[in-house]
Amino acid sequence: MIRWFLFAALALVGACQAPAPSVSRHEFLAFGTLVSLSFHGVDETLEAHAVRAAMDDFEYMHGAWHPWEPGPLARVNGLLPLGGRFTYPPSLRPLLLRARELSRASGGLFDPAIGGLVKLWGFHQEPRPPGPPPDPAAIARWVAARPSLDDVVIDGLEMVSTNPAVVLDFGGFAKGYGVDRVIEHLRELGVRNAIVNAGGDLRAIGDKGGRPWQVGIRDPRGPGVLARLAVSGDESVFTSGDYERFFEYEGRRYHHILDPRTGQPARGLVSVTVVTREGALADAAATALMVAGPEDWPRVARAMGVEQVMVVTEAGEIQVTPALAGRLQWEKPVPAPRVRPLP
Amino acid sequence: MRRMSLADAAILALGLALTVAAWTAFAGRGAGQTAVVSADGQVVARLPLDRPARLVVPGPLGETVVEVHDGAVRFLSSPCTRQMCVHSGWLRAGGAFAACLPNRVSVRVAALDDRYDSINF
Repeated sequence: MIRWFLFAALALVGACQAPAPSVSRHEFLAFGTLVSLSFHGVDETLEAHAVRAAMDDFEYMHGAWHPWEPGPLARVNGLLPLGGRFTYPPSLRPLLLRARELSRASGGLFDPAIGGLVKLWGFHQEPRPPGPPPDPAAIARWVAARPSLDDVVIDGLEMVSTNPAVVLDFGGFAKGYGVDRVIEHLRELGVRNAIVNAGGDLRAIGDKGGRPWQVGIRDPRGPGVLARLAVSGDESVFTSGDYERFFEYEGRRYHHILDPRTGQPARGLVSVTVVTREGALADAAATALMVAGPEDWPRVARAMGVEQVMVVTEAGEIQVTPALAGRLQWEKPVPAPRVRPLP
Repeated sequence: MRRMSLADAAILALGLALTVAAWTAFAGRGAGQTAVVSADGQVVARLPLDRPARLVVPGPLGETVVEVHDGAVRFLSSPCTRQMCVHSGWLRAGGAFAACLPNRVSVRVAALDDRYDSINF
């Protein structure tokens, strides 16, 4: 009898989960987007300090790296087309060098020299004023000029552009690079367990008292969450999608991820999700793979050194690399994903 | 081992019934969950998901309307151009999140044990 009673009691205990680890959250607007911070196991004083530090960092980076609003990068963009040598703000150097490495690795599919094209399409304005897509002749001129970050010679703290069409816009990269810098800062302050989420793209460090962080990847087409991913240690989850910024004109939809080879919005993929340690790499790779399209993306992923990728095609097919396939928990019924090994 | 007596069976049945009751009570739809509505980064309302409600939140562009119904919350309307918030649809699971950035309004589903710590999009 006692035995059965114990069994029943155990069954009851089993129904209750261990208490959820406490996670505190902070949300604020910065970097032109909504930033959300999550902490576990951080005392109140440190937490307040960490939130302040993150807010200040994002605010500084937004001002420093904005391609058009007055600031260090806007000044560089004003000087580049003049073709002379000039001293650039030293704070831009690590950003420029990392962007150049990633641009080369992507074969130019991610290229921050795309600022002129972004401006032609009007995506530099928020919100983009209504109107038609740009004049095809203007796009053709930009494509013919083919500005690239490799046209910019970076020599110590001086730079010179050999192509007057180069205008720098770190849109497909600054968020990742910025999240990396904030994570680095939080670690220096002594934060071990945190998520920094800037407008949907995030880097998570540590865990929740031995339990992994749970990240929901939103469905790019329908409502709600497509898949759940448990992350711990140090991982970034970045998604580029055609739904983030777009406009419609005469029944056609034009999104903001532009293919530098054609001057047009990239075609074929709805979204690309990249999971890797570094936010800057995840961000640049998500952009480059969107541009690469449904057939070529595995080759570009290999070239850039990312192994965990999920893409959703315009036809609604989900493709996923073997390294990520086993980690995703589907949160809604989905057609069987196609596993695409990297070459 | 002795055969199970009627009293043993009754206690076992009671234990199992309690297990099922506890499960349905705590995993039930919208139970114990609230929609945390923020404007410009400040929490303006906490709406329990088990009570239908409609909330008008003013922002720089105009009024955003948040609706709670049947254990879920959504952006019913917003004065923004892209309508990403409205297209996010119903938010149900703990940790689910959507925002209207242009009008600076956000909604997050808070639960005792959030299903998601962060949302990627």
